[in-house]
Amino acid sequence: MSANLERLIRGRQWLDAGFAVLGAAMVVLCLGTLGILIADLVRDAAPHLRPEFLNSFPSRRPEDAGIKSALVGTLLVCLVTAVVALPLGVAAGVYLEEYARKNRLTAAIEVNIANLAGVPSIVWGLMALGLLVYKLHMGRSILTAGLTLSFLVLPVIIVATRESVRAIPQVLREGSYALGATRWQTVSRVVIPSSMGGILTGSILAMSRAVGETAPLITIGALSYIAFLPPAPITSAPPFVSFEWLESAFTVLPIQLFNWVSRPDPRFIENAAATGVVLVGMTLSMNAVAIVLRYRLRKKYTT
Amino acid sequence: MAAATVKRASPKGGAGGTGKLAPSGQPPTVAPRAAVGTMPPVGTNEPEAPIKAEAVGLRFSYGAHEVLKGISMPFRQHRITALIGPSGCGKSTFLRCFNRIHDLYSGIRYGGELRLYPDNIDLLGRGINPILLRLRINMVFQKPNPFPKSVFENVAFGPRLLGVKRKDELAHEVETALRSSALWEEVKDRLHEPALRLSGGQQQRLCIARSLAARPEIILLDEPTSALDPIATGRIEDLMLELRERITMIIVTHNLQQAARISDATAFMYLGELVEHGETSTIFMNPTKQLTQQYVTGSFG
Repeated sequence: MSANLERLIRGRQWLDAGFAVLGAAMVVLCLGTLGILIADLVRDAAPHLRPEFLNSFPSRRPEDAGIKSALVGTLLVCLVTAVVALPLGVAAGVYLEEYARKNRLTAAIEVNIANLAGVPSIVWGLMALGLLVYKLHMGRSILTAGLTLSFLVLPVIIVATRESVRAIPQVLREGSYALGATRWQTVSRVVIPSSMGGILTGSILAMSRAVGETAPLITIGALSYIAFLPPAPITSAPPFVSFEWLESAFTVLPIQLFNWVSRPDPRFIENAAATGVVLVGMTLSMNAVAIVLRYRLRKKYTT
Repeated sequence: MAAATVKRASPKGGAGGTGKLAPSGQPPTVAPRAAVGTMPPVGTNEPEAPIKAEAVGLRFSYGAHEVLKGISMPFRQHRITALIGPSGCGKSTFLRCFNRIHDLYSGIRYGGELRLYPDNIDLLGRGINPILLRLRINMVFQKPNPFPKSVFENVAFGPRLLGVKRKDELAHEVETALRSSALWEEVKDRLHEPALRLSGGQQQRLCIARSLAARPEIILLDEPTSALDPIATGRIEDLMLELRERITMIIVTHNLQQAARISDATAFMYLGELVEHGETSTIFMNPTKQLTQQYVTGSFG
C-alpha cells in the first residue's frame, strides 16, 4: 500500500519537475529570440547611432539622412494624444465606475468599450480620414493625427481606469462618505489618488502602444518626407504661445522607418534599423517610467 | 444645522498645562458630570440623561427582504449603547441607518422614524440632507480603513470637509483629535508617513481620530475591535470610555464581554426585531425575556 503510494507520488514529482523545465525552456526561447532580434537591429543600426542621426532631416543620401522631423513629429503627436485622451479617458472611466447606475445600459456600454479596445487600428484611421479630414477639414495635420491616436487609446485608458478604480475597497469609499463627503469629494480625494498608480500605468502603456502605430496615420495621409519642423510653440512676440504647429504636416518614426525599408537602395536599411532602435528605446523607456511610477505610488501610499 | 456643536476635545490629564489645546472661544456645552479620569462605573449612571436619538417603529428593507421589522428604542446622550445579537439579526443594518450610509446603495427602503434630539427631526425625513447628517453622525468601521494618505491627511479629512483651510488651524485640529484618541505620542513624529504603515490597532485609533476631528455628535462603531488583538482592543475600549464624557456612541459588537465592559445601555436584537433593551446590568444580570437570558448566557448565538 505505502509502496504504491510512494510510486504514485514519485510520478507526480517527476511531472512537477518536468513542467518546471518546460517552462524555463519557453522563457529562454522567448527572451532569446527577442534578444537576438534586438542585437541584430542594433548591429545593423550601428553606423547611424550617433547624435547627428537624431538631428538631421531625411535625405537622398543614406549617410546624411536622419530622423529629426520624425522624432519631433512623434513627440508632438503623442503630446496631443495624451492631452486629449488622458482627461477624457480617466473622466469616463471614473464616471462609469462611480457615478453611473449599474443597469443593462451601462453593462452594454462596458462590453462595447472593451470591444473598442480591440478594433484594428487601421479602422480608426479610416474613421478619422472620413470624419476629421473630409468632414471637419482638419487636414493631414498633427492635430488630426493626435486625435486619431486618441480614439485608439481612449478605450484602453477607460478600461485601465475602471479596473483600478474598481479595485479600491468599498470600505474606503464608505469611510469617506461616513465623514460627510460628497461624491465628488470622495472621488477626488480618496478614489482617484488611491487608484492613480493603476491609471497612470495603464495610460502610459496605452501611449507607448500609440507611439508605434503606423497604419492609422498612413490612412489619414501622414507624409513620409518632411524636411522641416513645425512652427515653434513658443514665440518671441506676444502672446508667446502659438498653436500653429497643430496644423502642420508631419511624419512620425514608424512611417519614416517604413519609408526607408521600402527604398531600393539597400543602404537605407541601416537608417531603418537605427530608427527601429530609437523607437524600441522610446517604448521601453515609457514602460520603465510606468513601472517606476507604479512602484513609487505604491510606496507612497502604503507600506 | 451646525456641524460642530460638540465641545472641543479636552485632552486626558485635565485642565493643567493644556492651554495650547484649550477650546478657543467656545464655551463648554456639556457640564462636567465627573472629574476627568474618574469614570463612573458602567451601568450605574443616573438613567435620566437626555435622549439624543430615538428609533420609532424603524423598518428597513433591501429589495423585498425586510431586515428591520419595527424597532423602537431611545439612545441617551453621552452614553454608550451596545447593540448585540447573533449574526444576521440586523444590528449593523440598524447602526447604518443613523448616518444613512445605506443611501449609497440602490433598492433600499426605510420605514418608521429615527428622531434626533435636541433638533427633534426625523433623520429619515425628506428634508434631511444625508451629507449634512453624516457631518454630525460619523462612523467607525469593522476593518480599520485609513485612507491611503499620510496620518496627518487622514485626520485633516474631516476638518477640510468642514471648510478649515488654514494650515495652522488644520494642524491644531489634527493634534487635538490625535490627542483625544491617545495616538498623539505614538505618531507625532510620523505625521507625514502613510497611515497604512501604522499597526492595526493604531490604524483603528486613527480612524477614531479621523472621526473625532470632524466633531460629530454621535459616533457609530460597527464592531470596531473585531479585527484587533486584545491589547489593541483594550486601548480602544479605554478610549471609548473617555470619549463618552462628551460624545454619544452606539456600538455593534459580537463580543458580549465587551458590551458588558463598556456600555451603559444594551439592546438585544434577534431576526430583525428588538427583543429587549435597557441598562446593561439589567440586560446581562436580570433580563425580562427568556431569549435574552439564553443569548447572554451563551446558550445560543
